[in-house]
Amino acid sequence: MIEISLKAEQLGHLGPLPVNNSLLASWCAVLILIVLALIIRFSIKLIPSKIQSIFEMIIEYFLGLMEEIYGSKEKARKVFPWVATFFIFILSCNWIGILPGIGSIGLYEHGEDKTIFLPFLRSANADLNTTLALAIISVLLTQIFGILAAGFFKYSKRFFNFSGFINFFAGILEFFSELIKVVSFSFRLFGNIFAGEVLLVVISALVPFVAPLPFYFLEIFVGFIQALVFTMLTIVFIRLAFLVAEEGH
Amino acid sequence: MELLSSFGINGKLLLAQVVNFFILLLVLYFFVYKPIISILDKRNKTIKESQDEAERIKQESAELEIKKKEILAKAREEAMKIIQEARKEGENAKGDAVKKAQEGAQKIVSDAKVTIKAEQEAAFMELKKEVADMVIAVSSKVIAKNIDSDSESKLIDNVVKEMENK
Repeated sequence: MIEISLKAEQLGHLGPLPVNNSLLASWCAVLILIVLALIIRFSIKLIPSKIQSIFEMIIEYFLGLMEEIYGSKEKARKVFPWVATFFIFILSCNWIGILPGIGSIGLYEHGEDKTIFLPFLRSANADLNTTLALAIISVLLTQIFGILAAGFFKYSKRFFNFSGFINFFAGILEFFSELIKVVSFSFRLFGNIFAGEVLLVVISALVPFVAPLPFYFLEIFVGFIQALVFTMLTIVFIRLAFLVAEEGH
Repeated sequence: MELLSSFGINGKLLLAQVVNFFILLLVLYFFVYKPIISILDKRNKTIKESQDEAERIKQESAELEIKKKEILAKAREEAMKIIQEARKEGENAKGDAVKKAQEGAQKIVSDAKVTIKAEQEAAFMELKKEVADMVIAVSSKVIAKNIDSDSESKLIDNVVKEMENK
């Protein structure tokens, strides 16, 4: 019997912090990335090594894209670290989540009424906590960049506009659309990755050999696409926030 | 709220993920983005500089090529000029020498002619004188005392004239 839990399973407590398997996985991802970052930092050269050129490629791609979208090198460089971190974090979490052993190595916990399987690791983005955190950061970031570009007073007019009846309601709509972005960001990422996990579990249970392979490729692709979608949407929303400063003088 | 708990939403976990993100942001910012962006800028600068440098060198070499051609053409022209001048000078010198030689030869010839003439004349005069003396001697011997000196000189003159006419 396959048991699929919508929430990440809790493993234990670290002080006041309840540690679940998704948090553990994201710690792994962060740790791996930090090690990678250190390796890059201390092997950085004008003529790049392979690992350096991969990072350079990602960085150059996003920098070029953002310069095009924002029409300003300065703005692009200011926003870039945030957006790039979204991409790298989400991508590595998604790909680490596909690795065999994650979601399948664990313990059977004997509860009072039933026995449940407790995997040690679970794809970080298959926990709504992670995606919600990222979504909140993304949306707040958008507001902060908007305020930095337009000033607090002018930017607040985007949501609280008393210059007319229609404008007032447009502002209210705008406000709710920002709130809804949090939901759409978090549930899109969570849904895709969680569905992928479920799909892999189900296929592996039905036909354990060979058959899951195409679905693994699919999940690698989905993991990349979702990271890209999240990043792109953030870039575009920040562009919209910058627009407030540029319009209506 | 039941919805949230059914998804396992937990404020502490949320915060832990936010912290994760910020740790990663800081680490990546200082260890990856900043050095890599600076190195990208540096590389772009280097590439641009070396491109400019290459362009400059190319231009310079083109200029040098033109200059070289100019110099070569000039040198060739000058060489031609020098050769022509030398040829002209040589010809002049040759002409002069020939002329001088000719003049010298002419002079020698004319000198020789003058000398010859003078000698000839001198010889002739001497011959005349000798012939006259001889005639006098012969005639005085032949005629002896019969002829006076007046007719004698007349006769001599006649003989001389005859001889001259010959």
